[in-house]
Amino acid sequence: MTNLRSTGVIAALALLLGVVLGWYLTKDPGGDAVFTDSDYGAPYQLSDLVQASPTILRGVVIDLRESKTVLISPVTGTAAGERTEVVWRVRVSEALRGSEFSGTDVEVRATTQLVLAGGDQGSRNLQIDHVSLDAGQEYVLFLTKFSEETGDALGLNGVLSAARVDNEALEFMLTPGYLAELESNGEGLHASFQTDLRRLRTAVTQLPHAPRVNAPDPALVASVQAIETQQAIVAGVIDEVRDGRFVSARAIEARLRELGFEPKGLGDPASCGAAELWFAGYGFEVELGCSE
Amino acid sequence: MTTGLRFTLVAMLVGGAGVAGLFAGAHASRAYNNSGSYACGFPYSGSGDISVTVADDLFWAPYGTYITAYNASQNWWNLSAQPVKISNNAYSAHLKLVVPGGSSGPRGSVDRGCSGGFRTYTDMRINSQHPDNINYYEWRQSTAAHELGHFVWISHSSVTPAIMNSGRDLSFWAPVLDDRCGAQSRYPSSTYPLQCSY
Repeated sequence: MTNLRSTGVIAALALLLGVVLGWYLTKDPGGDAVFTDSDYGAPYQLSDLVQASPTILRGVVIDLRESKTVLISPVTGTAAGERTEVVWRVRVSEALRGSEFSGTDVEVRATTQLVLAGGDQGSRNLQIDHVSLDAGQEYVLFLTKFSEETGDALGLNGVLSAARVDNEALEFMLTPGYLAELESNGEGLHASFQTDLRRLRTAVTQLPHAPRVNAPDPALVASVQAIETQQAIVAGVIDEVRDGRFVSARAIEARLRELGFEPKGLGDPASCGAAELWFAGYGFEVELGCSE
Repeated sequence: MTTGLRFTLVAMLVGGAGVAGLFAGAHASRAYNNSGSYACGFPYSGSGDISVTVADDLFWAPYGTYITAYNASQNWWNLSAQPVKISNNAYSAHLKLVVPGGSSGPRGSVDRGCSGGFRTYTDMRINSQHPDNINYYEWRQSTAAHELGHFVWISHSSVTPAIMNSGRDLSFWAPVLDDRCGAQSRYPSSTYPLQCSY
């Protein structure tokens, strides 16, 4: 009986442990914490990456070093941070795109850390997600010139831009953050990234460097800019409503017309209707002509 | 096998099932992928607006067309993603930045500081060295709109189209229905009920 009782206690404890463990592992963290989200913007298929990359080089990393750069704020013109870069020296054995680099050594830069001054939170230390390239290893690198200061630094062309060469096979490298992003979506790399040098050379030949997306349609740009102008008018009047400057919906409509607002000017009926709802929230039945 | 031992095993199985059930509940299939984006919103009563403010960072303020990109994106969110209303206020703890984060860094990122499950500060960053942002105004606006979505407290979506989809293209530069529904999944609004099919 004693045995049965003690076994029952153990069983109850096991049950309790399961419940507590389940709660602990799934609870919302309520204490102080920082949560980060990033917009990786990686190409979906190999063809996207090939078209987006102005320079594609095959070579061996012969040296790597870290360097620090003082960052000058474009706003204040003063030192406002520090960037830690890793610089890989690569001996180019084949220039798949970018013949000027053929037979040369190039330096490829990636940012690994930013320390930014200023703000209410004091200095902010940001670790940048990046891949690690090993000295002595051969890679295919998809590169771009990216420095906003001088326009001549050579860097990896986005988060997915390095592949380890294993004989003829290519193994694309993922940053830890991008890998976690793919896993959380239940996805992996598109099958086109399972490739080799021969197929890559063919893709480079068939797919010349082209913008990552087609150049925007000028008509679309004009249309969006027109909508933004109308948005700015509505947003400005919303601020005036918030300040209590109107006593009637008709006065608001008159103010909108005075500033150049046009019926259907917001373009998207849903946005237009939402703006009407916003005015309604302040007690004004403003007619924006959403369905005219 | 003794009765006690059998009872122990059953209890352990039940306990384990409890753990598994809680895990399954936490990872239920949904239109919005919320992993990595835990509680950190703005207090909301369920009706009316949530007025939140943002400020330019002292040293890394948006400049040039990045200003346009942030402002246009704020307008889009304000006009479409009720109940959140974003306005500029120099004293806000929520900051807009444009920083040189390297060509292999993300296009943009957001840090949300939280205490007790609610937001204390936000850093929204656009990477001025990402190839997309360098080469296209449209991407600057798309990045700004995406980061503002994280600021509002929406996580990544796998739906197309959605500005919160990391794999989006430039067919649109502003929040669409999926994003609006994302906002209302976070802040169910009796004032602005939105018809979402999920």
